[in-house]
This record gives sequence, C-alpha cells and structure tokens, in this order.
Amino acid sequence: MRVSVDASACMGHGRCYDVAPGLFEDDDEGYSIVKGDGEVPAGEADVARLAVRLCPERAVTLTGSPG
Amino acid sequence: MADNRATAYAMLRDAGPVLRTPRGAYMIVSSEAAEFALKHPGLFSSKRAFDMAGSPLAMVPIAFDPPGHTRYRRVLQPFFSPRVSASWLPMVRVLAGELIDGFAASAGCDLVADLAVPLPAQVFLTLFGLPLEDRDRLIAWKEALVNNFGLPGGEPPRERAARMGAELYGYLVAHIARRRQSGGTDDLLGLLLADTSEERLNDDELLGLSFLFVLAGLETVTSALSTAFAALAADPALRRQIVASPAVIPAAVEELLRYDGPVVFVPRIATRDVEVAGQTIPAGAYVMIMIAAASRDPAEHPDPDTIDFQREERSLAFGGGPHRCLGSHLARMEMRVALEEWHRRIPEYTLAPGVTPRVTWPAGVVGIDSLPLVFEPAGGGAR
Repeated sequence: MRVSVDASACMGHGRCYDVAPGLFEDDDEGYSIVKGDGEVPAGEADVARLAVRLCPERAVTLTGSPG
Repeated sequence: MADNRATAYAMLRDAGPVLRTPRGAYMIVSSEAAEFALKHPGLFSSKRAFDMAGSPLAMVPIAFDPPGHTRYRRVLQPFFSPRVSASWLPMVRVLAGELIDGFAASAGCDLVADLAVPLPAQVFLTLFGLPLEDRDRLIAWKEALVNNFGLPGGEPPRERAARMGAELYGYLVAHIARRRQSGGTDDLLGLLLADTSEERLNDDELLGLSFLFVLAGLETVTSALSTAFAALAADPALRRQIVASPAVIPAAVEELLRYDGPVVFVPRIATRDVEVAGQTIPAGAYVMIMIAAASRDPAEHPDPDTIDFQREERSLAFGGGPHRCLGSHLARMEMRVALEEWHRRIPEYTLAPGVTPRVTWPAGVVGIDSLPLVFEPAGGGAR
C-alpha cells in the first residue's frame, strides 16, 4: 500500500501530516509532502486511511492492497 | 437560528442542495455542492463578493481571485504555516493562562468577555508588536466593523463603521510605518516586513492583510470559543472526556467547529451561469456557500446534530480550495491552548443558573455575546 498527494490539489490544510506524521510532512509553506516512497508500513495502514478521509481537498490517495 | 442552529440548518438542508432566497441570492447548502463551489474560484469570484466591509482598501488575500490571489498566498503561506503557528504556541499559552488565572479563583466568569474576546485580540497585538494596552481600543474598532463583514448583499458600511474603519486604518498605517523604521523579527509583522523575496508584500498590501486579520481573525476565534464552551458547559460527559484525556482536545476542536463553527457562509459572486446540483445560478448572482449547513450534511456527517469527538470526517469549517482559511493553523492552536489551559485549572463548570446561551443573528459570524459560567473557585491546586 502506498500513499500519494496530488500537489495541485493540496491547499495546506495540514490534516494528513497532523494525523499521520510518519507518512507525510509539511514543506515550508505548509503543503504536504509524502515521506520517502510513500510505502505504508503495516502499523500505519489505519492512519493512512484516516489521512485520505480527512483531506478536505481529497488530495490524498491510497493505492495497492494492504500488506 | 439564535436559539437552535440544528433546526435552522436542517430547514436549509431540507429545502434542497441549492436554494434561491426571496431577494435573489443563492444558498449552497449540501456538502458536495459547497465543496464544488469552493474549489472553482473561476466560477465563484471572491473578489467581487468582498468589495465591502468598511475596509478602505482591498483585504489581502480574501478579496482577490487567482492569479493575483495565488501570489498573495504564495507569499503569505510560509508565515501562517503549521510550523510558524506552533512557534507562537508558548506565547499564546502564557496569554491564555494569565487571562484564566484572572478569574479562576472567583466562582465564575463571563467566558466571552473574560477569555474569548481578549485572547485573540492579545494574540494579534503580540504578533504585530503592538502594546497590550491598545487591546480595548482594538476590540472597539473590531466590534464596530465586524457586523458589516459578510452580510448578504454587501450593504455599504454605516457611518459609525466607516469612521471606526478609518481610525483602525490610521492606527495600522502609523504602526507599519514605525515598524519599517524600528525593524525586529521576533513577531509576525517583523517577519513580514523583513521579507526580501521578490514577491514580498508592499505596505498597502500589508495593511490589507492587517485589516483582514482584525476583521476575520479575531471575531472568528472569539465566536468559536464561545460556542465551544457553551456546548461543553451544557454536557458534562463531553467536558469530562477532555479532562480525563487532554489528548482528545485537537479532535474536540475539529468537532466543535463542525458542530457550531462561527462561519455560517462564505460569499461569492457567480461569474457566469453555472449549474450546481441541478439548479442554474445566473451570472452576477450573490452566492452564499453555507459552510455551517454543509458541516451538518448527513451524507458526509452521519447523525450530524450529535457532538462526537471520535468522528473521522473531512471538515469544511476552514473552507477549501484556494481560499482555504490562511489563519486556520493559528486559529486551531489558539482554541487548543484555550481548552487545555482552562480544563487544567477549571475541570468542572456549568452555565450560570437561568442562562440560555443565544447567538446574535443575523450577523457576520455565529457567536454568543455573553456566556456566564459558574465553577468552584480554584484553590491554588493544579497550577
């Protein structure tokens, strides 16, 4: 499972790196960047889904199957 | 509306996703349609909707559309990022603690007059390097102006509001000129003035931003604190969740903003005929994106009239799209700190006997004017 952020849609609400700081971080303007290659470790699957659900811009997506 | 927003917002929702008012304005009330309008600034102009409010100059960045707006956001966003907002947290914590200590040893307070009004005003003064003694003047200007802000139809400001607007303008002009000379980068205004990037704001643009900060950044936090504490005071189970586990406070802030947030709607002007949820909104129409009603849309928020800190739902409380509230990270932090510092000192409290919190309506934002709370005087215990 992998997370990604659509940079053109991200408006810097900061919800994703707030709830899933292991997967996302903020740039200098507060926009979200995926950490590393976006691969979701087993223990972070729930917060990855939460980040997708919370994004007001629907800019966060999760692809691939769990595991 | 004054007594029961649940009923008011339900009536709007039942009337349809998009409705036309008798005066020819349009209300967008469903979550899906509100999201669409917020994300299409080319169809729904912010610029024309904010030509009002007694501001002698265009408020930066709200009264602009892309691409001009895009430049402002690019310049401003670093100064309002979560990281920079977090750097002000210790200052906000001290201010909130001092205000609460001012009444914690008595048996009650007016949450609005004693905390919700002064806190964001003092935060603004501190961030702009202004003396705290100016607080009551600033509050008087803000209160005269704020009810001209965001009212449907964009009526011209009344005479008093115009005068107060001119006074505030003069005050800010003189201060910015003074700070250009004195320098210093230990507050937000100093950082903005020290910006040497090619796109930095000039003094007129900084004034427009300052005006917006006073008009939009103070009243919203005041109002949000007032409705949040009204909800907590009325529901022992909710406030006990906070006392038992302060870690729930960020989620509580989100939920309280969803449930009874200050921003009822954001205004736009339709730039051309546009169909939204099956209804055609004509070019030039005044459009109200009903954030507060959308935040109780059961399609996005099951059981919308119940406060539940465990919700995991996207929020439109700070808007969305390119005009997403620039101050959202600062506002969230102020609310979080106020709730933390209060509950650390005053875990148990109730509405004063005989009090029914009411909001003033119609108004620019939903907020309670006075919220008398009673509690056991703190006795030098948990400080």
